[in-house]
Amino acid sequence: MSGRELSLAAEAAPKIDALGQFELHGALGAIGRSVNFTNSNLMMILASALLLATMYYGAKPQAIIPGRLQALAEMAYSGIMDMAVGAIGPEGKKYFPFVFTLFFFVFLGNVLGLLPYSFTYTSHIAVTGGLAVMVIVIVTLVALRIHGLKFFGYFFPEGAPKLLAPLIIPVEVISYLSRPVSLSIRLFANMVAGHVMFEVFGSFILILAGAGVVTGAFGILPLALTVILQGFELLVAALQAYVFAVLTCIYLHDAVHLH
Amino acid sequence: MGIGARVGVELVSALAVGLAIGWGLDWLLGTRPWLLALFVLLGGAAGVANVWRLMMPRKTRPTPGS
Repeated sequence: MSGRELSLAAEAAPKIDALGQFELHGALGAIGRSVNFTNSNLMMILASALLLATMYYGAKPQAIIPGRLQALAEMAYSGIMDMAVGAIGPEGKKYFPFVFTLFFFVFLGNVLGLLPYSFTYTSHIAVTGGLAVMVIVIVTLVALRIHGLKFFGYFFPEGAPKLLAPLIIPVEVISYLSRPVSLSIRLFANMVAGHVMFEVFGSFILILAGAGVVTGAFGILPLALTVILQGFELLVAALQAYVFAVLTCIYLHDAVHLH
Repeated sequence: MGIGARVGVELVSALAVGLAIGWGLDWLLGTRPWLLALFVLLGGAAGVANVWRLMMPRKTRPTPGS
């Protein structure tokens, strides 16, 4: 076989390009490209618009017996309110708008990303990292505003031997700073892993189906697996958004109550 | 998958933060590799502290002052 034939054979063999789906590219044509408007930004705007529209049209009728949209909006509102008040305490009402927006931005990013031809903006560490840094900065500012300089006592628990201070304080500071890192990596890794699995199993279907009549019948197995995986990824999408919001609430609780 | 992955993420992220602080301080003060070695150890300890907090229920944790 000559070199040319080899390269042709390599081109004909199906390749699994699992990471191509996370690439950014310009959206909205030439105008979008000139301001670096990407498919990721488009999905963010779509998610925000969907959330705003749901809440606006859901809250508008103010019927005593709610319709479907109103019931959805009310469930979203009371669900997050229960979570915020339950995890933070009665002061949680003040931080409800922040937690609500954060939860639904992440949730809609995860869920809209499961649709074909869409893009999952929560699969980029830049997005999840940005959200996590925002959370930690806000939590720190809240703690500083409520407790002033007493906040720094958080890094040295009362009653610990003074001799251990040089050891405990750096460990506590690193532990505090590792919060945004673990918060962002958890969401990002879950989203990337799910979408890579989709791509790999989806490619298996095509590879098996293209391999012949007998082996083609086995293509039904990865197809079934992909269907199951879709349900599982819906669960992960909701769960990871919930975990992100609950951890934000727990950090806010620590900031409000210090310990 | 749930709890195991969370423990792993907590350990690794604390270690990464320790590594970054050590690296950054070394770069600033020109003391490579001593602070890096020190802060990697502290980062590992912080990771174990994170896992401890994850595993211990909130109520049994000693909460002085509250």
